[in-house]
Formats: sequence, structure tokens, C-alpha cells
Amino acid sequence: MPQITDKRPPIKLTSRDFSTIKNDLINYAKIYYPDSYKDFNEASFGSLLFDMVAYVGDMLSFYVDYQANESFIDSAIEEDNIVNMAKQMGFKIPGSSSSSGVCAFYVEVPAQNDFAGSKPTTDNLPILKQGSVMASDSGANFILIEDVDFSKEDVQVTVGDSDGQKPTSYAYKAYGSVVSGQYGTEIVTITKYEKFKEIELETEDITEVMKVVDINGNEYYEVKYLSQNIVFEAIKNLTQDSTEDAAYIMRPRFVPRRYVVEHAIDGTTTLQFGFGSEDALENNEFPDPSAAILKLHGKNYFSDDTFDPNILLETDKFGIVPPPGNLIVSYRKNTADNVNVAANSITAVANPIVAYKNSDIPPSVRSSVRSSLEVNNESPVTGQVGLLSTEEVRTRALDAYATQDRAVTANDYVSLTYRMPAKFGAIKRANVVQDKDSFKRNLNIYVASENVLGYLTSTPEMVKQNLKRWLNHYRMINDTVDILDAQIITMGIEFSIIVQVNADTTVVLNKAIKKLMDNYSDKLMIGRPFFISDIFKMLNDIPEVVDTKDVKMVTRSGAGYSNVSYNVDANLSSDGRFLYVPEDTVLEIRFPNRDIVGVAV
Amino acid sequence: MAKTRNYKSIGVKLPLAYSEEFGPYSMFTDPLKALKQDFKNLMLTNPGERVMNSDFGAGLGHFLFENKTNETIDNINAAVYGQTAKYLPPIQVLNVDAVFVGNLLRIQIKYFIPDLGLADTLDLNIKDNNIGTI
Repeated sequence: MPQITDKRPPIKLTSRDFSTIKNDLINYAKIYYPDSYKDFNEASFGSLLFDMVAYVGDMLSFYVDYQANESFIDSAIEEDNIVNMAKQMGFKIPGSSSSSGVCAFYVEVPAQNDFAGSKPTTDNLPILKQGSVMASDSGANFILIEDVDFSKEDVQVTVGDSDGQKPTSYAYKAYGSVVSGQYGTEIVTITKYEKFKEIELETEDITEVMKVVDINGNEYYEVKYLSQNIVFEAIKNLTQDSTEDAAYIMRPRFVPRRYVVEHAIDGTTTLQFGFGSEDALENNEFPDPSAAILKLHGKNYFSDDTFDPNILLETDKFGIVPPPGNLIVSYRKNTADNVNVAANSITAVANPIVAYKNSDIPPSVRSSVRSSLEVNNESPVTGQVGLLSTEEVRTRALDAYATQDRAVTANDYVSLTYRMPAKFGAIKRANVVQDKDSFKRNLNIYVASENVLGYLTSTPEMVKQNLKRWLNHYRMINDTVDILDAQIITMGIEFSIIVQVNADTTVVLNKAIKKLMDNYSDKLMIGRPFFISDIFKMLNDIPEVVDTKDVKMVTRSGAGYSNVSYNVDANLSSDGRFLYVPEDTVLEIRFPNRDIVGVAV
Repeated sequence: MAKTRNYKSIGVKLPLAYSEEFGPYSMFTDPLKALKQDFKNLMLTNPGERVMNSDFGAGLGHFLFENKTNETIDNINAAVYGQTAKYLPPIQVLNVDAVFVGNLLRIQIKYFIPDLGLADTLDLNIKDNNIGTI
């Protein structure tokens, strides 16, 4: 049987640009039309035609490449495409960034008008309310984002003024967090019911949409996605004994009225609402599953019953669209291009909101207390960054896609634990360990908090409750998590060093102690081994130290210390270089100035 | 049906014209004439006119609106010699004679084709948008 040969002319599919396509065409003509055409110089009419065809080929190749590149976030160049793909991957472009920091607030309160006059009148102590506005020297506004209660225990107090014999007033100093910007309002008129209503706000560079209220006074809540119908609400913690631990209690709230915010790179902000109407809200039940089946009419047989997702759309499952009328949108936006300010720059209390626990305070006292309010930022207030570049959007989108806002790995749980908003109570140290004794692959999260004195302490119950609600929102459905207190062991360091002959032993010893104090001023991590060899290295790095003779770790107990026992010798590694620390345990050098002792010879 | 060709054609003859002898369009069979047409194309193409090759073309038509100075004549010479050497190496330019006659730019280019051992002259009369013929 004769072999059929492919007589089609060879075409180089790798020739995709102008010059290679043109060369291929010329070669093709030379091979297949040697007698019909011979004029291949650049000035010939035939060469002009070759150029035109090669040009078209080049353009087609370019757009094929372009489309392929623009289809993937790694290779896309156009800003709109990158942003759209980033959205598909779950990344949301943040609003105009703001700076934040801590300010010190001062207030002068009259002393008790008694004979001694030695006590401050605590009844007159005000609460500087959240929303008070401060101003910097450069004109940027800053908003207080938490109540500053001058009657709390950790507030510093000193004599403000005296008549020469006794104090007449006391000055109080408390700290509160501020964030850049000022509040604004935009009223949007909605004319008709519209599914997935989108509203583009006229105001640009909005940092945060604070509140949305419709014509009936119903408040709408911001969610990440319209299918998310739960938000965490912060309820003021009024329990006296746990107020210091967690100022707010976290409570999940069902929000049928909700919206998503989309910030565009060009600074515009768009709100998008859901699908359902007010009527759907009244019948706030998940649809009967039998009603959600797509019925096939007109046939006397069934091939399949298909789930009809439109049934869900008719419920409030994507949120409620605001009814026609005015919609009031409150927002926060920066008042200056650069809202990062240096230390001691926020000096004016532009609009204080002052409240008192005691309602019987005379107006004159109220007025003097209010006028005595002062503010200062002892450290820089920073955090504002420029608008996201497309490269940043690309990178962050990939990160967002990888994490999916879900707790999958142990590090995700640790990260989420630390990410819990501070007003719900702060976790200082956390460690996630798989419970090897559990058949359900249970996870144990060991946590420790910090008290007002800066010492590690057991995390208060209220904070653990908040953490439980917080993690529950992110955890995998088949993960079981126990939140447990970490064991805190207070330790001390005893060392002896040999110093150079001509060096002052006291100076060198102080230098050594200070070096160790600086190094161990940060809290250690839970379950992290303690490397004694690091201490040897730090001490030997001091120029005047000839050698470190000995380093000994000792437990500290008694008043002010932890009462958890720990056997140092049993946990010392065989080479004596480090201490084993159980996964549920954290070591703490609580009082470095007295727990780190040394001898210099 | 086209007749069987007796000659090996070289290039397309402009302006395009139907030819029973060569198929759809008439073709050059004389290399001297084919090269002369290429030479004329090169001289009258404006730089930037050719796709993907913006340097191509002497653009002699533009010189009509230049000042009637020796410098313009020098520039015409440079364009003719430079473009020919770059894009039409089979042709060796012998002499360029450019003169302004009223509103007319008359350019006469004498050239030699070493491979053929033949010399020829290209006459261009450039007036407004009407480019003169050979």
C-alpha cells in the first residue's frame, strides 16, 4: 500500500512577529513560485504586499498574546483587568488609607473643696467620647475611636494647681486611639426598587463607610460579600469585674439589610445592595426545599429535578435593597493629603464630646473641665500609605486567595487570634497545637494576655468568649478548637562573667545586665524553647568580657511571681544549650531588673 | 483561461493591469524595467509611509516645498544615495541632478546596474501632488 505523504507546505507556527512572518512568506514564494515572482528587494511592490500581510499577522499574534496575558493575574498589565481578576479571587481594594496612633489626653479637674483639699473630685472626671475630633498642626483632623474614661485605674494623676497650701485642681492623663479623617454625610436619592442596586458616591477618597440609613430609619451593615448575613457587633461590657479585660463583648448579629463597599483605584466608592425587597424580609424563612426545585412542565416524565437558585434570590439571602427615598450615607475621609504626623503634632482638641457618669455636675465645672482638655501625640501617628499600585493589587490578591479568610493551618489560627479587634480584649501570646489525645483531631489554642502592669497573665474569661465567637466565624466546620490558658512560668537568669583586667567590673556587669534586659523585654513565645546559648553569645559579644563562665536559669516564685512549678534540670537539653518548653507553657522574665543577676570577676 | 507563460516573470507591473499572458496582472520580464519601477517606488515613498519600516523611502516629493537652496539640493542627493544604498543595493547611483524650475522640481538620476552591466536614467518631475512619470 503506497504511503500517503503530507504534501502541505511546512508552516512555521513559531513565526509570530513581523520579521519572521515576512521571511517565511518570502521563502515560501521562492520555493513554490520560483518562476512567477523574483523581485524580493525592499522597494518592490511585492515586498510591500509581504509587509502588509506580515503586519496583519504580527497584529493578530500580538492580540492573541495580549488576550492570553490579560487572562491571568500574573501576566496582566491593564489596571482594570488586574482589579477585576483580584476581585474574582476575593480581594477587596481598601479605601483611602488612614493613619492611626495613640494620643495622650489631659484634663484638669477641681480638687475637693474640703479642708485638706488633698483628694481629686473623682465625680467630676469626664469621659471623652468616641467621635471627638482632634487637629494636628498641619490641619489634618483625627477622630477618637474609643471612649477615654478619666476615672479608670490606669489613668495618671498629678497636682494641677495649688493655692500654696493645698491643691486646688488635679491633672489627669489618659490615652486613647485616634484615626485620621473626619466624618461626612452624603444623601442619595433612590427612585425605584432595583435588584443589586449600585450607588456610586460623589465623594472621593473615602476611607470608610460608617453608616447607611434608609428613609424608614433602618440601618444597613457593611459585609464582605452579600451572601454574608452575620456581622460582629460590639456591645459595651458593663460587667464591672471584666471591663478592664474586654471593653466590649462580641455578639454576632443577623443583618438582612446589608451592602458591600467597593473602592476603586481611582478613589471612587460604590455601595452595592442585594436582591430582596422589604416584603421578603417579612417572610424571613429559608425557602421550603421542595419549593426550590425547578419543575419541568409540559412533560409526562422526569429526567432530573434541578435546584433553582432563583428561589433563593427572592429571599433576603443576598440582602435587602433600600426602598425608594433618601439614603443617608455617613463616611470618614481624610482631610489632608498626608495624614501621617510626627510626634507632638496633634495638639488641638477641635470638637470634644464630653460625658459624665455623674449628672449632677454644675455647668461651671463642666465648662472648666471641657476647656481644660488638651491632647498630644507622644509618638508619631502613621499608617497612611499611598494608593495601591497594580503590582500591589496583584500580590495582595494572590495572598487573599491563598488564605481565603479561613482558618486552615495552625498559623491561620494564630494569625486570627492576634487579629481579633483590640476592643474585644487583647491576646498577647497564642500557640496552636494539635491535641494528640483527641480522636477528633482537636486543636488546642493556648493563650496568655498581658495585665496593666505589663505581666503575662491568664486570659480573662470574657476575652476567651469573644475569641471563641471570633474564631468560630473563620474555623473549618470539622475543626474543634479548645481555648486554654497557657502555663506561665517566671524565670530568672544568673550568670558569671570574666572581664578584662583593666576593665571596671561594675560597669561591665551593668552593661551585661542591661543587654540581657533589653533582649528579654519582649515577651517570649508559648512553647518556644529557651536558648541559653544565646545568652552566652550576647555576653561574649561585649568587648570587655573575656569569657562567660556560667549561665544558669532559675525559676522565680513567691509574691508577684507565677506559682507554676518547672523543673529546670529535667528540661535542660543534654548539651545544656537550651531549655525544653512544653507547648502549653510560656517562660517570662517578669522583673528583668531583679530577675537577671550576674557576677563579674 | 490564461495562456501558458512563455517568460519567467520578475515582478508586478504598476499600475496593475489585467493580463492574459501572465495571469491576473501584467508582470515585468525585463529586470531593468523591474528595477527601475522599484527605484521610482523608493524615491517617491515618504518616510513613515511603509508599514513597520518607517525609514524606508527617499520622500523626494517633500523637497518641492523646501527652500530653493544648495542645502536642499545636498539633502536630495543624500536622500537618493542613502536610500538606494540601503534598500536597493543592486543599483549604483552615478549622478543626481536636481533643479527647481518655477513650481516644478525636476530630478534626474543616472544609475548603473552592475549585475546587468546596464545604465539608465530616472527622471522625476515633481509638481504639487502630481508626481511626474519616467
